[in-house]
Amino acid sequence: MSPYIAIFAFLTALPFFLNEYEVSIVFTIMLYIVLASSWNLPGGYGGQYSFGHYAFIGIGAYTAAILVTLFHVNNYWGFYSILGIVAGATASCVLAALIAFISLPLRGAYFTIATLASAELMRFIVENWTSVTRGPYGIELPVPPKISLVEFPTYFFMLALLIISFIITFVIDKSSFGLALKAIKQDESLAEVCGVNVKKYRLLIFMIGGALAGAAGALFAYNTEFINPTSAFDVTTNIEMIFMTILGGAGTFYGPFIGGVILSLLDQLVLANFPYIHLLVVGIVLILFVLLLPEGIPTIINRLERKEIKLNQTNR
Amino acid sequence: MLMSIGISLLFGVMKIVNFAQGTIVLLGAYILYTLESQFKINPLVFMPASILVGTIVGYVLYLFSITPLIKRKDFENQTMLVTFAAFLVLQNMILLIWGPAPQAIVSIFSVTGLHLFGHVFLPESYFITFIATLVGLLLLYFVLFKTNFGRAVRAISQDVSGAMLMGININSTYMLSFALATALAGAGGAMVGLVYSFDPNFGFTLLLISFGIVAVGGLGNLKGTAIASIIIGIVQSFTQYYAITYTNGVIYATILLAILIRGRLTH
Repeated sequence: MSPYIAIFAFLTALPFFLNEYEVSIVFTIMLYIVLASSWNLPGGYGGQYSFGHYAFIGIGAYTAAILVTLFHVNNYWGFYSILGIVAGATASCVLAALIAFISLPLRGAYFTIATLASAELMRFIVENWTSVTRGPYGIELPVPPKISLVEFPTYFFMLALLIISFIITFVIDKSSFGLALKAIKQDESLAEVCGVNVKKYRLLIFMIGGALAGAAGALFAYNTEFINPTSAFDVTTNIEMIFMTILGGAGTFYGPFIGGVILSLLDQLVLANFPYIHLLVVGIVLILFVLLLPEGIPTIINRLERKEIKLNQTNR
Repeated sequence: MLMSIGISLLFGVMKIVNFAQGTIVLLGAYILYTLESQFKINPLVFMPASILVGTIVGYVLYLFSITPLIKRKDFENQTMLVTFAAFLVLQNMILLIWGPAPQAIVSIFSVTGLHLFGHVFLPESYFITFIATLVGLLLLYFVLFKTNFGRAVRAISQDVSGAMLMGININSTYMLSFALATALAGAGGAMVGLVYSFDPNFGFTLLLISFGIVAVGGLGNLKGTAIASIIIGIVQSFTQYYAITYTNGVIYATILLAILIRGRLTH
């Protein structure tokens, strides 16, 4: 446990030493890690390949943004910004239950198409409900006055969310809940026969994942200070979440962390160096990842371990 | 209709959902646009070029991304991820080559046409699309039900190991059906180019519409797909006439409704 505490302590101290740009990069990496873990819960543990997870980000972002604008929040350390995060998480959780009602009875490609279509429907609603969301014009959040370190309250909120998502994933991983999910992922009918309440667990994990993504979406809105339907509902983000989880190892509590750090650093690097062909390069890298490392980083570790075992055997 | 039949065919044969399909359609439209604006002659002449490009892209995609994945346990999900990454690559290549501005093919077909009932104007491009779709469907029907290749495709979609035991070369059949599906996408793209204006983001919309059609008609069910594309087409036209801003929303809602009903029926 202590290495994790050391990492989190290091992250807490970080903004005191870095400039604004570097802090924003660290913020983005943490955001992606939280998003990846929010996908990892239903996707990695439950085996539900949701392509519509970005709906939760968008709804979380919009709920928080509308709330913050409504109360004219200008101090992001205050009560209302936390309320915005909680409201975003709650809204996404409710939405997850709704989407689950349609998509959870489905399997494989139908599930993917259903989640994708519901996410696009959400974006469509946000785009057209102009009286609340201002439609394609987007929402400008009230910008807080900049005061030295307090410029980055969202950074600390993000860190807190990162720790929360880590704890949630860790607890689920070690509990009977996680065990049930793993059983469902391997063989659903067998799990059901053995007395696992498949429907309940799948719904629950989908809702938890949705709530986490919603909270992350709220912080995304606080950080960028402006959201519109295109930036809040971006299917590419969803794909990156999936790839991060798979790269680090789907269905493990450390997976999103490793994958999130590697892929989002790479993402930032490509964006800084080749802004015009950013997504082109990212796409090619993602294809290579699936081809070469289908199970992610754990494959390499497994291979190394196997080699060591073989070496030991030959030595004897 | 042609593009969604490609998706349906692929799923029926290989259990693949090709997310790049919409962008290959778009690529077909762009190829037609470039050739037409270069040579300024009848765009129909260049339709084979669109089909050819679709086939080649499909072939390359198959070689590089699907072949290495076939033996894997998590095949269905992994191909979805790979084709989605391919979608990103293709879309950004289009963006790089042709730029972000919307394009349209203005040809003689969109000007001449029939005037029905005095105020309804039917451009010739619509007739061409209709006839080309019909020809495409007949060709597909012929290939699937009258040739040995088609028999192999249908056998594989019923039982892979059984087909293998009967001496069918699975790999080459997979490859051919993938190329056939993307060729259909290229042809569909030529049609899209003739009828609509398009920009690099249009591929995703096309993909969602095709998904809707496939979901309504049933994945892998070709007849269902043909009927569903007519239904979706009518829904689209009606919403375009009565409330144009809600067109996409209505289509997504139709997809969800269809999936909801289908899910309740099958489980």
